[in-house]
Amino acid sequence: MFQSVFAKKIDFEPKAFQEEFGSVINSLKDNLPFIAPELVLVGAICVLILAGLFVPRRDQKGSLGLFSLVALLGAGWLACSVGTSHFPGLEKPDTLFQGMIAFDSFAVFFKALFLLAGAVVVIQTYLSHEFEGFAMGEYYSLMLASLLGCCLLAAATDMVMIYLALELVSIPTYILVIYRKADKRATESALKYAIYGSVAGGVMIYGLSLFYGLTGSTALTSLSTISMEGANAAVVVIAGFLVFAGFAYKMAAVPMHFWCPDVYEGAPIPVTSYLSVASKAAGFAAFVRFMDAFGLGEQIRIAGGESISIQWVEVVAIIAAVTMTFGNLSALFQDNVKRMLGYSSIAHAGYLLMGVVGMKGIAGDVEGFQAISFYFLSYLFMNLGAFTVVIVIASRTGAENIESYKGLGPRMPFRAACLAIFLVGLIGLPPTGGFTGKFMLLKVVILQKYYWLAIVAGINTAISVYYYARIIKNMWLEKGSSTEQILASPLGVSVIGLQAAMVLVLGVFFSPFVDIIQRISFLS
Amino acid sequence: MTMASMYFDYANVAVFFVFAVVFVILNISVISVILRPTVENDQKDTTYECGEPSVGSSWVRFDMRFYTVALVFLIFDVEVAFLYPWAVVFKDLRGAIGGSATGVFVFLEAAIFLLILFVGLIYVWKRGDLDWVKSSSAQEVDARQRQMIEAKDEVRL
Repeated sequence: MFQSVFAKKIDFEPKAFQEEFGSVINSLKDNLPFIAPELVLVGAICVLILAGLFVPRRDQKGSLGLFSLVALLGAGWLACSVGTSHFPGLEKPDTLFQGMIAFDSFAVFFKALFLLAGAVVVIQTYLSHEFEGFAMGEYYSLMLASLLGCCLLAAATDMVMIYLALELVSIPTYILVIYRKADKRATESALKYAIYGSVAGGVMIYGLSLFYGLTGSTALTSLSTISMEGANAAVVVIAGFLVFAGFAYKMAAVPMHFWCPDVYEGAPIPVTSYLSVASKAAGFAAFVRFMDAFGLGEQIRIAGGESISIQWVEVVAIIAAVTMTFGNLSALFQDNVKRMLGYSSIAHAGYLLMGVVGMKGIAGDVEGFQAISFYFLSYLFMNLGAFTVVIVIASRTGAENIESYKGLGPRMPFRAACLAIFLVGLIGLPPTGGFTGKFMLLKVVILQKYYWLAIVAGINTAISVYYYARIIKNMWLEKGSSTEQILASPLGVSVIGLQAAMVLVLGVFFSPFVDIIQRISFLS
Repeated sequence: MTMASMYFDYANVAVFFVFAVVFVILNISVISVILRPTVENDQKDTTYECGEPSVGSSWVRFDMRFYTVALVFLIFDVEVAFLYPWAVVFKDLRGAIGGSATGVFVFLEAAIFLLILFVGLIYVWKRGDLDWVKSSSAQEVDARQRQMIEAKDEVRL
């Protein structure tokens, strides 16, 4: 046994090995500048872990939060500058690290989106009352680790990389949900979340292993029709559904949505708002990439020379319709604002899936994945903004119930007005970014001649008016038990005001942003 | 590949499978029953704990610190597992394309890997997870947090 190992050593040619490995190592070295934002995050994570040990506990929320904010904004700036300085050369997108991750404008856009969302969540954490007296080093480092996973997930072009990045997004969030470990609701929801996440991850990697068996490669590009030649149709269908399950879990789409309301209710509110935007967007980015490689309703040549066509686009359309209907109908009967926003985020996953249906845009000037990108841009400000106001209300009054929002309007006029803007945006009414985004999604679906899906989305929008408007009505039209003014902090007011302004800008003056998203393309 | 040869391959698998099942059943329930001496002894019914005499029931609550120690062990075990292949190829990489710069790069990569794990070591060290007998101050902090959350929950309810 050992003899044979040494015998092989004699055949080994150091020269050839050196040349091959040297070129691989050099290509890795040349790729490093393109992942500068990720490297910044890794460095910041290490610093935060150490700082959490040595900075006095009562200062941690502020000082470590400020450090995370600077690191996230710095990484976001790097992502944009590395991305835009290469945009001219992006006619021919490129992959990094031997085809593991893509460096294309789609990935750059989503990276910037995640890092911006992360920065807002860090500010929300500072505004929140829920972390008083807690050691925050672990909190911020886990948050940044999860964001690192988001950045990798949006760029992953290899099945193994997708799975790894997905777990890197999920595992830190299990801990973030249970960060207040004495909180019983948090414990319950974190356990559900962790079990659900592990099962979904296991199911997904089983599907990916089937694809690996069918194609002999882990690269996403190998999922195209030609390399599936000779595949058994049943195996392709099963593997497809198994992988869908993993993505649906991350996107909180029916039927993998059960964790969503419980976790949103149990988690600290900044973590909830993180889950509802960044980790959902990462799931969508990876799903778009996967669906592009997988093909929507294309021919698969099976054994015996015949070919069949699996209409995945129909599957996605049905999931989209069911998801938005379920989310909206369940949100109608919620009393807890966090839980209501949880169901509303399920409904939004349904709307966003319409973009995947219209992904292979045939005639539109905006294609499906571009509509998804734009919707996420406005969803970021609408949803994070709504959560920021919810955090401020919960911190100042302890209220998380829709009933207890009664009479809040006159007590905090500016912030309540901003919450109204966010909610109008979530409904999808003009003049907000929500309307522009939903308009684009509906347009790509109609161009694909999925009229029934557009009608379902329209009906759902009408349903959603009820539960969003209920909050606005409670705040402004009902009388509360108190009329005392609620204290405003300059930071909170300015962050909320900025987000409300962005929601309005995206609704009225959207053409510069549409120009940006029209330049987005991805490797396929 | 012809159909016949494919079926023949399956036959190989089937024979192997049948043999595996029969082998196990035969050994455990037939041959051993015939050959083994039967000596009754109470000790035989007790839980096996690495040869130590067993103490108490196995249904006890375990200290969470076992988990931490196992986790720390796992991390540094994997570290060594990663470093061995790196160390083996490192000598050859020095002369690779790019000359010594490539070698330096490869060395720095491993150094950064070690540095990140070292952060983990500092973390467990500072938190006192390496001391088996823990100071009571850490536990007091946990207790204080719990009280604060419970007090807040009561206010909200």
